[in-house]
Amino acid sequence: MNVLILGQNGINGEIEKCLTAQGHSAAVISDIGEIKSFSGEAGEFKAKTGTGEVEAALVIVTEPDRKPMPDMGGGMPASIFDAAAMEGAWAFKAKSPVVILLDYFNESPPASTARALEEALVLASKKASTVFLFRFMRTAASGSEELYLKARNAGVTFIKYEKLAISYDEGAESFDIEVSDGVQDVNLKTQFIATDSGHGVSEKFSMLAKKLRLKADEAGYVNESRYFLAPALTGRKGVYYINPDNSESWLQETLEFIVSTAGAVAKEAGEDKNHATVDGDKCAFCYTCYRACPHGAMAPDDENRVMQNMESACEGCGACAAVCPGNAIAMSGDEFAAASLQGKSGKVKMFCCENSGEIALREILPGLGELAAKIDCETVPCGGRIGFEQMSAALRSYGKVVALVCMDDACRHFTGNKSACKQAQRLSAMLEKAGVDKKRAYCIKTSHAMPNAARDEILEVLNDNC
Amino acid sequence: MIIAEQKSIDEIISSLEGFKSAVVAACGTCVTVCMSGGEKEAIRLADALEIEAKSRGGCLKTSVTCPTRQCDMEFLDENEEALGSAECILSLGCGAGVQFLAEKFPDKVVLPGLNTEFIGVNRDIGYWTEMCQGCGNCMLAKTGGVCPVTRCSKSNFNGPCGGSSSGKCEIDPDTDCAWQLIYDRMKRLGRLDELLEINEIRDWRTSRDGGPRSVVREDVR
Repeated sequence: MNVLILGQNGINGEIEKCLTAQGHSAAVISDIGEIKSFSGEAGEFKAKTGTGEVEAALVIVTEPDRKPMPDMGGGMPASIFDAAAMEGAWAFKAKSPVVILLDYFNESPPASTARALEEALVLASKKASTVFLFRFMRTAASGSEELYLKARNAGVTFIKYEKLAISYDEGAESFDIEVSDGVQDVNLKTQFIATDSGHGVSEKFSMLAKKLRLKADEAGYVNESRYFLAPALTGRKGVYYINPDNSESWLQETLEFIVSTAGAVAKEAGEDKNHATVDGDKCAFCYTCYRACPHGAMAPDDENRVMQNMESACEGCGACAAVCPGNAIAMSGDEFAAASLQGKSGKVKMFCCENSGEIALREILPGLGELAAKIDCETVPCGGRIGFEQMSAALRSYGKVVALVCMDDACRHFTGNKSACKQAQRLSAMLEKAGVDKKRAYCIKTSHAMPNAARDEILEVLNDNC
Repeated sequence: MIIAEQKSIDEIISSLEGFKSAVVAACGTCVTVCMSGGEKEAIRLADALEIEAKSRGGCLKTSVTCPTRQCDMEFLDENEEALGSAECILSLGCGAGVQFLAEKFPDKVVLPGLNTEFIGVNRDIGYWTEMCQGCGNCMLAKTGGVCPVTRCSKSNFNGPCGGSSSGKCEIDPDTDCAWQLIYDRMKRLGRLDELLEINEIRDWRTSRDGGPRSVVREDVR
């Protein structure tokens, strides 16, 4: 099997060695900017570069080496991506300035730059004395020029430095910063430093993730965190992601796991599983599903000028079907949707995500007493499957409709839960505008692990007259 | 592509007052792609209208049909039965679609469900921007492929006005100054000298100022 390794990282050689030892061949493209386009599904990926085409059964993306943090003298900086910590910075403003540090020698990553500027702007607008330290900030290319100007106008002090030394006084819980721009030295005392913790990826890496259609988190990293049981998985089948911070034994195991999945992916392709089908007559070839699919499973059929579903890559979440403006996409498993809990005629229709809502509802149902009879549950593969039209159609016969979906960051398909909430919001807003009681469409977030988390919210919906 | 937005539902409801049945006519081309008037939106709107009617004890029967394009008579003919099956037609086509439907059904009320906005491009899911006004005399060759007629708030022809600041337009800080974009692009292309050429006062008769326009191509008729 041929495995394509994309990226420049210290462990590429190690990966190659492991794969060859296991009898596979490996191709490496270390300059990821070389990739012009990427297509196909597990078993038959194609990567076009400026010089030719590489075919591979599996792809491993290696993260660029994470930049080491500047020495903090033993203190712990906060992360600019941590909303709660940044909120907390406010508490320190009376005593000392708040420091935001972006330590990049050449280009600061676009995501970090934008976020750091936003946070500085918020702090300065709240009249906190804010100092922004940076070595090289990229603003124009990342579209942050305006934020930079606003932050400056709001009173953020920007210092472009050449040398930086930080020490930490544990007793006073404060950082001593010596910073120099090569001409002038400045000394700063602060109790709060926020950095991007070496976070944020380069623009090149963001472009690669886009071409491979991998969902990335806010800092631009291909979001592996939700696949905590198998951290090398990305949203796209057959494309794996390895960051270099892990041990050698981890790497061995992970690579064994990666190559072992190839068979499973191929086997799944032959199975009759829930997947999307596109009605070519209705498809407007608008690329909405292509952009929305969290698993990179929609591909253009250029010959017929319609979009097609790559069955083996499809995870059956239904995000494409919900978003398709031409109503051209159906899920093969939609009839299975009316599972287990159905058969009760009630006044509240609940669309329950099979990963969270259905499991949680099943747990709390016995404790709801007579109210349980009000609920008619329909299981859906993901909150992302629930469109406005499913909810509005339900309201023709039911008093209320509820989408019971995953908590934030827990959605297997990345943002299906948020999508369900937006649909419910839009329906509510439309009904309100039409003069109909807006309290008829709800979106409630819950978890299979904490079924009682949403109990009160569900009770409120059931108890309210409808 | 034509970009349109759905009208607010209360406006649609009041325009439907007195009707007991309506066909919601989607259009399968531009407005499908810009997610305002495709079959999916038509189904959604029809549902919402029925729910609203029911909620105030009224009755409105809706149905949905989706011609591939409302701006070609053949597609309207194909859907004639479905389109004509109710008291009125609520068109989710652009302004052209609504009017062509009115021509097709001279004895029926045809109502617009959308506001037609502009000719534009899709920048992201749910984000479109205006790029062309159909002025009938394209000058993009002189301006590096950035249209000053459409993208400059004043349609200036020879450089920015005094309201251009830090690359943004004075009417809205989120709007790029078209002349900044033109300058940047011509600089990148190494053709800045071409901007020194003065563009003469334009004859706007090729645009809307000349009245309703038509194109007749004898060679293909």
